[in-house]
Amino acid sequence: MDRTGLKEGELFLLNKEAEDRSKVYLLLSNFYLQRPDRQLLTRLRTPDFINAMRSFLSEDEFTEAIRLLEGFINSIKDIPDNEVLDILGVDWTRLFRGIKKGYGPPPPYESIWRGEGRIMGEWTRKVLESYHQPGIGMDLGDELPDYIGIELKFMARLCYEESSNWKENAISEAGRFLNFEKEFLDNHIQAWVPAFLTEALDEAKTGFYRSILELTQGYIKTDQRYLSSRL
Amino acid sequence: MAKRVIVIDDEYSISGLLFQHLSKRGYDVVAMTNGAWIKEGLIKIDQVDIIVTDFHMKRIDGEEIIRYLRDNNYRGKIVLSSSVDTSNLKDLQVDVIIEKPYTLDEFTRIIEGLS
Repeated sequence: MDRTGLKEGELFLLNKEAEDRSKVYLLLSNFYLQRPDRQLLTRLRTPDFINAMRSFLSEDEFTEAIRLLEGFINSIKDIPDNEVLDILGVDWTRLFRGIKKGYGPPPPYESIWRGEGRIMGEWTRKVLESYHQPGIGMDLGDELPDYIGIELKFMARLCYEESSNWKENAISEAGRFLNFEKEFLDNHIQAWVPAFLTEALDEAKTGFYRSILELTQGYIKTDQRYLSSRL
Repeated sequence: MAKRVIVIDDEYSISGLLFQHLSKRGYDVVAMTNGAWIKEGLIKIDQVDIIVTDFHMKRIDGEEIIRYLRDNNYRGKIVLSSSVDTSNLKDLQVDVIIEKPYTLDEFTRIIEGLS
Protein backbone atom coordinates (compact mmCIF):
# COMPACT_ATOMS: atom_id res chain seq x y z
CA MET A 1 0.00 0.00 0.00
CA ASP A 2 1.40 3.37 -0.99
CA ARG A 3 1.37 5.63 2.02
CA THR A 4 3.18 8.61 0.58
CA GLY A 5 1.20 11.81 0.68
CA LEU A 6 -1.08 10.76 3.52
CA LYS A 7 -3.26 13.59 4.74
CA GLU A 8 -3.50 14.62 8.37
CA GLY A 9 -6.99 13.11 8.71
CA GLU A 10 -5.78 9.80 7.33
CA LEU A 11 -2.82 9.76 9.70
CA PHE A 12 -5.17 10.45 12.60
CA LEU A 13 -7.37 7.55 11.54
CA LEU A 14 -4.42 5.16 11.16
CA ASN A 15 -3.13 6.19 14.55
CA LYS A 16 -6.55 5.66 16.13
CA GLU A 17 -6.94 2.23 14.52
CA ALA A 18 -3.54 1.08 15.77
CA GLU A 19 -4.24 2.48 19.23
CA ASP A 20 -7.59 0.69 19.45
CA ARG A 21 -6.10 -2.57 18.22
CA SER A 22 -3.37 -2.27 20.82
CA LYS A 23 -5.99 -1.82 23.55
CA VAL A 24 -7.99 -4.85 22.43
CA TYR A 25 -4.91 -7.09 22.26
CA LEU A 26 -3.80 -5.91 25.69
CA LEU A 27 -7.24 -6.52 27.15
CA LEU A 28 -7.39 -10.02 25.68
CA SER A 29 -3.86 -10.85 26.81
CA ASN A 30 -4.71 -9.95 30.40
CA PHE A 31 -7.56 -12.45 30.51
CA TYR A 32 -5.02 -15.21 29.84
CA LEU A 33 -2.19 -13.84 31.96
CA GLN A 34 -4.08 -12.97 35.11
CA ARG A 35 -5.95 -15.31 37.34
CA PRO A 36 -9.38 -13.70 37.92
CA ASP A 37 -9.27 -11.39 40.93
CA ARG A 38 -11.39 -8.80 42.70
CA GLN A 39 -10.19 -6.08 40.41
CA LEU A 40 -11.51 -7.95 37.37
CA LEU A 41 -14.79 -8.66 39.12
CA THR A 42 -15.24 -5.02 40.04
CA ARG A 43 -14.73 -4.08 36.41
CA LEU A 44 -17.18 -6.73 35.23
CA ARG A 45 -19.82 -5.45 37.62
CA THR A 46 -19.53 -1.91 36.24
CA PRO A 47 -21.94 -1.17 33.35
CA ASP A 48 -19.13 0.68 31.56
CA PHE A 49 -17.31 -2.60 31.03
CA ILE A 50 -19.83 -4.26 28.74
CA ASN A 51 -20.46 -0.95 26.96
CA ALA A 52 -16.74 -0.55 26.28
CA MET A 53 -16.53 -4.12 24.98
CA ARG A 54 -19.50 -3.44 22.69
CA SER A 55 -17.94 -0.30 21.31
CA PHE A 56 -14.49 -1.84 20.72
CA LEU A 57 -15.87 -5.06 19.28
CA SER A 58 -18.87 -3.86 17.34
CA GLU A 59 -18.62 -6.16 14.30
CA ASP A 60 -21.37 -8.77 13.80
CA GLU A 61 -19.02 -11.66 14.50
CA PHE A 62 -18.65 -10.58 18.11
CA THR A 63 -22.40 -10.38 18.81
CA GLU A 64 -22.66 -13.90 20.20
CA ALA A 65 -19.56 -13.55 22.40
CA ILE A 66 -20.75 -10.21 23.78
CA ARG A 67 -24.20 -11.74 24.44
CA LEU A 68 -22.51 -14.56 26.36
CA LEU A 69 -20.46 -12.09 28.35
CA GLU A 70 -23.51 -10.02 29.18
CA GLY A 71 -25.40 -13.16 30.18
CA PHE A 72 -22.57 -14.13 32.53
CA ILE A 73 -22.43 -10.67 34.09
CA ASN A 74 -26.20 -10.76 34.68
CA SER A 75 -26.01 -14.25 36.15
CA ILE A 76 -23.53 -13.21 38.86
CA LYS A 77 -25.38 -10.10 39.98
CA ASP A 78 -26.53 -11.63 43.27
CA ILE A 79 -23.62 -13.97 43.86
CA PRO A 80 -20.93 -12.93 46.36
CA ASP A 81 -17.47 -12.08 44.96
CA ASN A 82 -15.78 -15.05 46.64
CA GLU A 83 -18.06 -17.57 45.02
CA VAL A 84 -17.71 -16.01 41.56
CA LEU A 85 -13.94 -15.88 41.91
CA ASP A 86 -13.84 -19.55 42.89
CA ILE A 87 -15.84 -20.55 39.82
CA LEU A 88 -13.79 -18.37 37.48
CA GLY A 89 -10.50 -19.41 39.08
CA VAL A 90 -11.22 -23.10 38.55
CA ASP A 91 -12.12 -22.50 34.90
CA TRP A 92 -9.07 -20.29 34.29
CA THR A 93 -6.75 -22.89 35.80
CA ARG A 94 -8.21 -25.78 33.86
CA LEU A 95 -8.22 -23.90 30.56
CA PHE A 96 -4.88 -22.12 30.67
CA ARG A 97 -2.50 -23.74 33.15
CA GLY A 98 -2.30 -27.37 32.04
CA ILE A 99 -2.48 -28.91 35.49
CA LYS A 100 -2.53 -32.52 34.28
CA LYS A 101 -3.30 -34.52 31.18
CA GLY A 102 -7.01 -34.86 30.53
CA TYR A 103 -7.89 -31.96 32.82
CA GLY A 104 -8.60 -29.23 30.33
CA PRO A 105 -6.90 -28.71 26.96
CA PRO A 106 -3.11 -28.94 26.57
CA PRO A 107 -1.76 -25.64 27.97
CA PRO A 108 -1.58 -22.71 25.56
CA TYR A 109 2.11 -22.63 24.65
CA GLU A 110 3.13 -22.50 21.00
CA SER A 111 5.77 -25.20 21.44
CA ILE A 112 3.11 -27.61 22.73
CA TRP A 113 0.56 -26.84 20.04
CA ARG A 114 3.01 -26.95 17.16
CA GLY A 115 3.93 -30.54 17.68
CA GLU A 116 6.81 -30.44 20.14
CA GLY A 117 4.60 -31.74 22.92
CA ARG A 118 6.57 -29.92 25.62
CA ILE A 119 7.15 -26.44 26.92
CA MET A 120 10.39 -24.58 26.27
CA GLY A 121 10.94 -26.16 22.89
CA GLU A 122 12.34 -24.84 19.63
CA TRP A 123 9.21 -22.74 19.00
CA THR A 124 9.70 -21.01 22.32
CA ARG A 125 13.13 -19.88 21.14
CA LYS A 126 11.78 -18.86 17.73
CA VAL A 127 9.06 -16.73 19.34
CA LEU A 128 11.61 -15.09 21.60
CA GLU A 129 13.69 -14.29 18.53
CA SER A 130 10.61 -12.67 16.95
CA TYR A 131 10.40 -10.36 19.97
CA HIS A 132 13.89 -9.12 19.16
CA GLN A 133 13.35 -8.59 15.43
CA PRO A 134 11.57 -5.23 15.64
CA GLY A 135 14.17 -4.20 18.24
CA ILE A 136 11.62 -3.59 20.99
CA GLY A 137 11.97 -6.71 23.16
CA MET A 138 9.32 -7.98 25.54
CA ASP A 139 8.43 -8.04 29.21
CA LEU A 140 7.81 -11.71 29.96
CA GLY A 141 7.13 -11.36 33.66
CA ASP A 142 6.84 -14.89 34.99
CA GLU A 143 5.79 -16.48 31.71
CA LEU A 144 7.48 -18.22 28.82
CA PRO A 145 7.66 -16.25 25.56
CA ASP A 146 5.26 -18.53 23.68
CA TYR A 147 2.37 -18.42 26.16
CA ILE A 148 -0.85 -17.21 24.53
CA GLY A 149 -1.11 -14.17 26.83
CA ILE A 150 2.45 -13.08 26.05
CA GLU A 151 2.01 -13.48 22.28
CA LEU A 152 -1.18 -11.38 22.39
CA LYS A 153 0.61 -8.81 24.55
CA PHE A 154 3.38 -8.63 21.96
CA MET A 155 0.78 -7.81 19.30
CA ALA A 156 -0.46 -5.05 21.63
CA ARG A 157 3.09 -3.76 21.86
CA LEU A 158 3.62 -3.79 18.09
CA CYS A 159 0.32 -1.94 17.51
CA TYR A 160 1.31 0.58 20.18
CA GLU A 161 4.63 1.23 18.44
CA GLU A 162 2.81 1.55 15.11
CA SER A 163 0.39 4.06 16.61
CA SER A 164 3.22 6.12 18.16
CA ASN A 165 4.90 6.32 14.77
CA TRP A 166 1.73 7.47 12.98
CA LYS A 167 1.42 10.13 15.66
CA GLU A 168 4.93 11.35 14.93
CA ASN A 169 4.43 11.26 11.18
CA ALA A 170 7.06 8.52 10.90
CA ILE A 171 5.18 6.83 8.08
CA SER A 172 7.74 4.28 6.94
CA GLU A 173 8.48 3.24 10.53
CA ALA A 174 4.74 2.78 11.18
CA GLY A 175 4.59 0.66 8.03
CA ARG A 176 7.50 -1.41 9.30
CA PHE A 177 5.53 -2.21 12.46
CA LEU A 178 2.42 -3.07 10.40
CA ASN A 179 4.57 -5.61 8.58
CA PHE A 180 5.86 -7.06 11.85
CA GLU A 181 2.27 -7.37 13.10
CA LYS A 182 1.19 -9.29 10.00
CA GLU A 183 4.26 -11.48 10.12
CA PHE A 184 3.81 -12.33 13.80
CA LEU A 185 0.09 -12.95 13.42
CA ASP A 186 0.60 -15.19 10.37
CA ASN A 187 3.71 -17.05 11.49
CA HIS A 188 2.89 -17.55 15.14
CA ILE A 189 -0.56 -16.70 16.53
CA GLN A 190 -2.54 -17.87 13.51
CA ALA A 191 -0.48 -21.05 13.32
CA TRP A 192 -1.70 -22.47 16.63
CA VAL A 193 -3.99 -20.22 18.68
CA PRO A 194 -7.20 -20.99 16.70
CA ALA A 195 -6.67 -24.74 17.27
CA PHE A 196 -6.18 -24.16 20.99
CA LEU A 197 -9.26 -21.90 21.18
CA THR A 198 -11.45 -24.50 19.46
CA GLU A 199 -10.44 -27.17 21.95
CA ALA A 200 -10.68 -24.80 24.92
CA LEU A 201 -14.20 -23.77 23.84
CA ASP A 202 -15.28 -27.40 24.23
CA GLU A 203 -13.88 -27.44 27.76
CA ALA A 204 -14.91 -24.03 29.08
CA LYS A 205 -17.47 -24.26 31.86
CA THR A 206 -18.26 -20.58 32.41
CA GLY A 207 -19.98 -18.16 30.05
CA PHE A 208 -17.21 -15.71 30.88
CA TYR A 209 -14.33 -17.77 29.49
CA ARG A 210 -16.46 -19.07 26.59
CA SER A 211 -16.97 -15.46 25.68
CA ILE A 212 -13.28 -14.56 26.03
CA LEU A 213 -12.27 -17.52 23.87
CA GLU A 214 -14.81 -16.58 21.21
CA LEU A 215 -13.77 -12.94 21.29
CA THR A 216 -10.14 -13.95 20.82
CA GLN A 217 -11.05 -16.26 17.95
CA GLY A 218 -13.11 -13.54 16.27
CA TYR A 219 -10.54 -10.84 16.85
CA ILE A 220 -7.67 -12.79 15.34
CA LYS A 221 -9.73 -13.33 12.17
CA THR A 222 -10.86 -9.71 12.01
CA ASP A 223 -7.36 -8.42 12.56
CA GLN A 224 -5.89 -10.66 9.92
CA ARG A 225 -8.41 -9.24 7.43
CA TYR A 226 -7.57 -5.73 8.60
CA LEU A 227 -3.82 -6.25 8.16
CA SER A 228 -4.27 -7.80 4.73
CA SER A 229 -6.27 -4.76 3.65
CA ARG A 230 -3.60 -2.40 4.95
CA LEU A 231 -0.58 -4.07 3.38
CA MET B 1 20.91 -1.46 15.96
CA ALA B 2 19.42 -1.47 19.45
CA LYS B 3 21.55 -3.06 22.17
CA ARG B 4 20.08 -6.27 23.51
CA VAL B 5 19.62 -6.37 27.26
CA ILE B 6 18.27 -9.16 29.45
CA VAL B 7 16.89 -8.16 32.84
CA ILE B 8 16.35 -10.83 35.49
CA ASP B 9 14.72 -10.04 38.81
CA ASP B 10 12.19 -12.24 40.54
CA GLU B 11 10.37 -9.16 41.81
CA TYR B 12 8.12 -8.27 38.92
CA SER B 13 7.82 -4.68 40.12
CA ILE B 14 11.55 -4.31 39.47
CA SER B 15 12.00 -6.31 36.25
CA GLY B 16 8.89 -4.65 34.79
CA LEU B 17 10.08 -1.19 35.76
CA LEU B 18 13.57 -1.71 34.31
CA PHE B 19 11.98 -3.08 31.15
CA GLN B 20 9.86 0.08 30.72
CA HIS B 21 12.76 2.33 31.58
CA LEU B 22 15.28 0.79 29.17
CA SER B 23 12.74 0.26 26.37
CA LYS B 24 11.90 3.95 26.40
CA ARG B 25 15.60 4.63 25.92
CA GLY B 26 15.75 2.50 22.79
CA TYR B 27 17.18 -0.72 24.20
CA ASP B 28 15.88 -4.08 22.99
CA VAL B 29 15.01 -5.60 26.36
CA VAL B 30 13.70 -8.96 27.44
CA ALA B 31 12.72 -8.90 31.10
CA MET B 32 11.95 -12.01 33.12
CA THR B 33 11.38 -13.07 36.69
CA ASN B 34 12.73 -16.58 36.24
CA GLY B 35 16.46 -16.76 35.57
CA ALA B 36 16.33 -20.53 35.23
CA TRP B 37 15.30 -20.03 31.60
CA ILE B 38 18.81 -18.80 30.87
CA LYS B 39 20.19 -22.12 32.08
CA GLU B 40 17.57 -23.94 30.02
CA GLY B 41 19.16 -22.37 26.96
CA LEU B 42 16.13 -20.27 26.08
CA ILE B 43 18.26 -17.21 25.34
CA LYS B 44 20.99 -17.16 22.70
CA ILE B 45 23.51 -15.54 25.00
CA ASP B 46 26.02 -14.82 22.26
CA GLN B 47 23.55 -12.27 20.86
CA VAL B 48 23.05 -10.41 24.13
CA ASP B 49 25.02 -7.26 24.92
CA ILE B 50 24.18 -6.77 28.61
CA ILE B 51 22.69 -9.04 31.26
CA VAL B 52 21.37 -7.46 34.43
CA THR B 53 20.62 -9.93 37.19
CA ASP B 54 19.57 -9.70 40.79
CA PHE B 55 21.62 -11.64 43.32
CA HIS B 56 19.04 -13.06 45.72
CA MET B 57 16.23 -14.78 43.87
CA LYS B 58 13.90 -17.61 44.81
CA ARG B 59 14.25 -20.13 42.01
CA ILE B 60 17.83 -19.57 40.96
CA ASP B 61 20.24 -16.99 42.33
CA GLY B 62 22.36 -14.49 40.47
CA GLU B 63 25.58 -16.29 41.28
CA GLU B 64 24.40 -19.47 39.57
CA ILE B 65 23.30 -17.52 36.50
CA ILE B 66 26.62 -15.69 36.24
CA ARG B 67 28.66 -18.88 36.65
CA TYR B 68 26.56 -20.47 33.90
CA LEU B 69 27.16 -17.46 31.63
CA ARG B 70 30.91 -17.52 32.21
CA ASP B 71 31.11 -21.30 31.79
CA ASN B 72 29.34 -20.90 28.47
CA ASN B 73 31.69 -18.21 27.19
CA TYR B 74 29.26 -15.31 27.41
CA ARG B 75 31.28 -12.32 26.23
CA GLY B 76 28.81 -9.51 26.92
CA LYS B 77 28.60 -7.33 30.00
CA ILE B 78 27.12 -8.41 33.32
CA VAL B 79 25.54 -6.16 35.91
CA LEU B 80 24.81 -7.70 39.30
CA SER B 81 22.33 -5.95 41.57
CA SER B 82 22.24 -6.80 45.23
CA SER B 83 21.06 -5.58 48.58
CA VAL B 84 23.73 -7.57 50.44
CA ASP B 85 27.50 -7.39 50.57
CA THR B 86 28.95 -9.10 47.49
CA SER B 87 32.64 -8.46 48.16
CA ASN B 88 33.19 -12.22 48.48
CA LEU B 89 32.02 -12.70 44.89
CA LYS B 90 34.94 -11.02 43.16
CA ASP B 91 35.79 -14.18 41.22
CA LEU B 92 32.47 -13.91 39.40
CA GLN B 93 33.98 -11.38 37.00
CA VAL B 94 30.96 -9.14 36.73
CA ASP B 95 31.42 -5.76 35.09
CA VAL B 96 29.43 -3.75 37.61
CA ILE B 97 27.88 -4.45 40.98
CA ILE B 98 25.04 -2.07 41.79
CA GLU B 99 23.77 -1.87 45.33
CA LYS B 100 20.04 -1.93 45.97
CA PRO B 101 18.23 0.35 46.40
CA TYR B 102 19.40 2.38 43.41
CA THR B 103 17.75 5.15 41.45
CA LEU B 104 16.79 4.84 37.80
CA ASP B 105 19.28 7.60 37.00
CA GLU B 106 22.11 5.59 38.58
CA PHE B 107 20.97 2.52 36.69
CA THR B 108 20.82 4.42 33.39
CA ARG B 109 24.33 5.78 33.89
CA ILE B 110 25.65 2.27 34.44
CA ILE B 111 23.94 0.80 31.39
CA GLU B 112 24.97 3.72 29.20
CA GLY B 113 28.52 3.39 30.47
CA LEU B 114 28.58 -0.20 29.29
CA SER B 115 27.02 0.43 25.89
